[in-house]
Amino acid sequence: MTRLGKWRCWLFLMLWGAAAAAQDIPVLESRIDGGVRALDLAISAAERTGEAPVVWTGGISIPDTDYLRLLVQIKGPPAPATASLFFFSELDQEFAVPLADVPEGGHWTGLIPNGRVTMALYSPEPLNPETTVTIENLSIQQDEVLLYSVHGEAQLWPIASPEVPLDVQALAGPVAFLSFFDAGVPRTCTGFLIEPDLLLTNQHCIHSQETCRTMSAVFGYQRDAAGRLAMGPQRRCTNYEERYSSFDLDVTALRLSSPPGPEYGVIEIPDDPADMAGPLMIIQHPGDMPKHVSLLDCEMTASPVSGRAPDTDFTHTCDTASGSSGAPILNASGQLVGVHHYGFQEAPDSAWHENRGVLAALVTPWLDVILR
Amino acid sequence: MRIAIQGRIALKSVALAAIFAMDAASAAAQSAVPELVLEWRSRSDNAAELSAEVETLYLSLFNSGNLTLRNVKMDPSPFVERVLRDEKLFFGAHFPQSIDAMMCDLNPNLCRRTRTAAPQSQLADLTSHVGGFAASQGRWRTRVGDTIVVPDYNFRSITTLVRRQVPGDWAVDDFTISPDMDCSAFKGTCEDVIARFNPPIIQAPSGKRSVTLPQVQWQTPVTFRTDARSKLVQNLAGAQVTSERTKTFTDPSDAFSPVWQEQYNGISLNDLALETLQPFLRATGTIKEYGLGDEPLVARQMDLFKLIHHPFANLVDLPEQHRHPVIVVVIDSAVTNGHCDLPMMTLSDGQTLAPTASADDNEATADSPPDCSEIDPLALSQSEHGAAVAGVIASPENGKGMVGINPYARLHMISFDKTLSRDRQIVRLAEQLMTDIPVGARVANLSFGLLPDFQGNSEVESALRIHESRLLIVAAAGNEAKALSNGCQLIPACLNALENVITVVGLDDNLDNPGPWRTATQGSNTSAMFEIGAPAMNVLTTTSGNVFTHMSGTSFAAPQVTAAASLIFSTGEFIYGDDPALLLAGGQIAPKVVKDRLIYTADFFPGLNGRVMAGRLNVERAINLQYAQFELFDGRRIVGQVVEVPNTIACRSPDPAQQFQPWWNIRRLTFNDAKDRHILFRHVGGQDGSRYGALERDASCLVATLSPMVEVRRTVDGVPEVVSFPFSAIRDYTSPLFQG
Repeated sequence: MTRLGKWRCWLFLMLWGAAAAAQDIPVLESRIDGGVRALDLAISAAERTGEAPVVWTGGISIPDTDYLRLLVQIKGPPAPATASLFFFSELDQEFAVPLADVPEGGHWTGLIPNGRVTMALYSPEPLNPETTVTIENLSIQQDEVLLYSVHGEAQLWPIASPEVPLDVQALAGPVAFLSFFDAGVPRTCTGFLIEPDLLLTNQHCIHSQETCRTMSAVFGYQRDAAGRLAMGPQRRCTNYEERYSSFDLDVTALRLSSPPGPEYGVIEIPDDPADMAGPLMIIQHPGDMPKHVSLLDCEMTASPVSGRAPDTDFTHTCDTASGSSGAPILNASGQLVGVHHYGFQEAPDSAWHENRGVLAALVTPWLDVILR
Repeated sequence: MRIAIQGRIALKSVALAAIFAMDAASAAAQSAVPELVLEWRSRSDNAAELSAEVETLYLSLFNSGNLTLRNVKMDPSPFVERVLRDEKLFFGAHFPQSIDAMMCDLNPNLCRRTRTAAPQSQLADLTSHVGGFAASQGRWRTRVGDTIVVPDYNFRSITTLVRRQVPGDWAVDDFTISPDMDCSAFKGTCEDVIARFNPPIIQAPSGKRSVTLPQVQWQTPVTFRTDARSKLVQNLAGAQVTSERTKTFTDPSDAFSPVWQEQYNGISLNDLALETLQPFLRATGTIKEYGLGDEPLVARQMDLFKLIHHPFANLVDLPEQHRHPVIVVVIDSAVTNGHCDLPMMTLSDGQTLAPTASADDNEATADSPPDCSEIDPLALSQSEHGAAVAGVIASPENGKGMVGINPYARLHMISFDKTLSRDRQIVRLAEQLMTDIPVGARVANLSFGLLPDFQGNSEVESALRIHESRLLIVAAAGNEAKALSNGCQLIPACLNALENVITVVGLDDNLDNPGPWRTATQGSNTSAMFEIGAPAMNVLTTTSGNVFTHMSGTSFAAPQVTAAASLIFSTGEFIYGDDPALLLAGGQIAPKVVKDRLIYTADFFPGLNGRVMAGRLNVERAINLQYAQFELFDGRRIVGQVVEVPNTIACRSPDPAQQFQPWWNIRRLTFNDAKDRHILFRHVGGQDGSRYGALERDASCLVATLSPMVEVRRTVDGVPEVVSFPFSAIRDYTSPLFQG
């Protein structure tokens, strides 16, 4: 960015800040998810005593967490292209982190469910004795989320519970749990596929290279009717581009490392504004929880209302929680009417006292422009 | 697998049915080794028929390529018939021409005969030709001292009783008792037996009547060779037999006619031979077992076997008394794929899971599975946790891969769903413990831990408690590297105050000074209350895709103890279960007795003090149930029955309660070099000799009973002897499981 560009950007932020202050617009934040703990596990030459190609194995067991993520770093000379660190989870998932691809600053693994993982350092070619693979940090989910409701009890149901109609369950495939780091703090949001490898979420969730690079979109993260946890494919954000992001609309479109698969489908972006009258639903990941849906007492109350920009939002009575940001708001026909981005308790002192979504009717032409 | 086999095999052979009906009662049957050993037994009651039966046996085996052979020197007779009879290889009134022809074909250097091809119509009958040729007299040119090839069978006589018709004036003296008859099984001489079974009948009917008489039958194990075309062998998920264990069979290329060779190569003759011999074959034979030395990966297990003092460490198979199958339950992740080196397993839904085929079972292709001896260090998927636990316990001796700690155990797998929320997992575990444990199970392995979120552990505790009389639960201590104390919450590890729960701490692989297993990121939980330790580092075991891998963690320490417990149950019930009525009623050894046995037979190490109650698992000491085991300070090891010992021994101790110990309550006395005193385990609170009181440990017994003599009766090379030594000579003593 040129110096002039930076100045313009600064001026814009100043002006927007003044405008926001005038409107008492809350600062939108994604949910903080547990914490990061130093692990400092160094797999140096002295530790790599295994028989090639698997020169080291180890494990981590933290039984009171639903999932964890690990920060892998390489210190010293780079590792050969054939070397990888493998992670084996309890849900039959296997992640391989090619050591040559680990960037400076490290690589956060995807989500490892149930807090248990077996690790193996695979290197068919000898690693330089000066090279040390470290697992620097451990991000642990530990917080219990408090579900709150606009009216009465929280009416969020696990997506596969018997109360949820099958045609609603069928709409849930494209919705993903997003885990990422912002300034080193673990956070969560919700996102959904609008193309096989293009994910839409809130700009206040993924808004930088760091949040993109550390993001893992987890598909199929849900409990079945019997309460069994499933975790489908995880996909990474390939690159963050400003032009794919709209501050005013609080949306960002992210290209994923690969499509999660045809079985997950997409949420169609309607050509014409979809009907917002009548019951709505939000398929979401409230807090750090597997996929839920809000169905009861879920409807639009006012539209349009001003959000980050004039007349960009609508208010609704659908139950959500922190972490639901970026979830699709659908009408009874399953058409996208908005993208949830604010819960009424997230900033109690702000002027916003209702749950809010961004109007799909505005997101659609924006997408048309950027994807054209 | 058994159901599948029965469905696929069309042979109506009693022998085959009997093999299938052997059930998994024989662990060997589960291992599905294709070299079968059945028992052939004659049926005839006269010498003429006996000749024909032996002829049928030999021709069926010879023509199907199953005749096993050995060499014998012709001495003192140069005549084939004489040699066979002397070697107890032929019996009966006459020596059939077909057997002479067969012998001639087996010894072409010593015999010639006219070999005319048998009619095609006769070939299907294995008893109607000799290798595809008509029977003919051999022209022998043998001399004393020549070596000839003969059948290799070990016939032995067995005397049975049969009913026979005799003339009305028959008298006991009319019956000739042959030298081969042995009526001792009927508790008397054969004369006594005939008299006992044929009492004079008052006003007996005239004319012919039936009497009970001894009859000699001949029986021998008969081995059927590996034959990939045999439906039977294919369906036994067969393994290849290693060369040193394979008998020498007929070589068809030399002995058979071209027509018969062609037929021989085209179809399986094993099935035909089994059908022909069906009336004579008995299911009391076994499917031949592999030995420890046949396991390709056993060398990689030796370090573990040495650490836990498993008899396998000496490269010897388990003695017969330890081979009685016992049901072991594994509650773990679902085992969905089976494994070439796991036995047939029953599942909680009533289905069975057969061993999977490996590349060596079939013609290898690019897509063939591995050959069941491949170690894949990256096969670490946690979803195969259950399969890995199962392998440590009961991987069979089958000539493939590795061997489990108790290869004769039967596995019953209960799938535990770790994807449920934690509290639902606890509820589910309690339900499964209450409803899913099968009849006859003795041990259950739980290689996982649950931490309750909201509820306590009372539900699982109740579910475990209801099994106190029937099931020992072996729990892994967990891998969080925490020092746990009383009141810990981990389920089921912290429920070990129950008398049927034993918790296993994972240890490192230091032979002489083990410590808890630790890595940079995890390690075994420890507690002075956790009963026993077992190695947890790099344990070789089975995993998905018919490969093997090394696993670490307490999950793989616990199954070693589980398997050892199953050996104690099976061996103990075999040795002490001499009350048939009790056994019929499902009698078994109490789990507490087995739990205590594992504790007091462990190897103690000062470095484990405070981290585990007892020490490291010692399988050999634990399963040597029948005799007292002594190790003396002079290095002697004496195993036998104690015939003389002081009734009470004294420990010099400030605690009066520890000063005098009734000998019959002492379970273990082992010298602790670090403290220059003995550690003593004893049962208290019951009658003298009872195993049902509390097991107490006195870590500091300065033995004050010195000069009284101990006498132990033992048997060395079959010769009984009594060994005496002063009490002060005892470095280590382990009591038998029960007295007498």
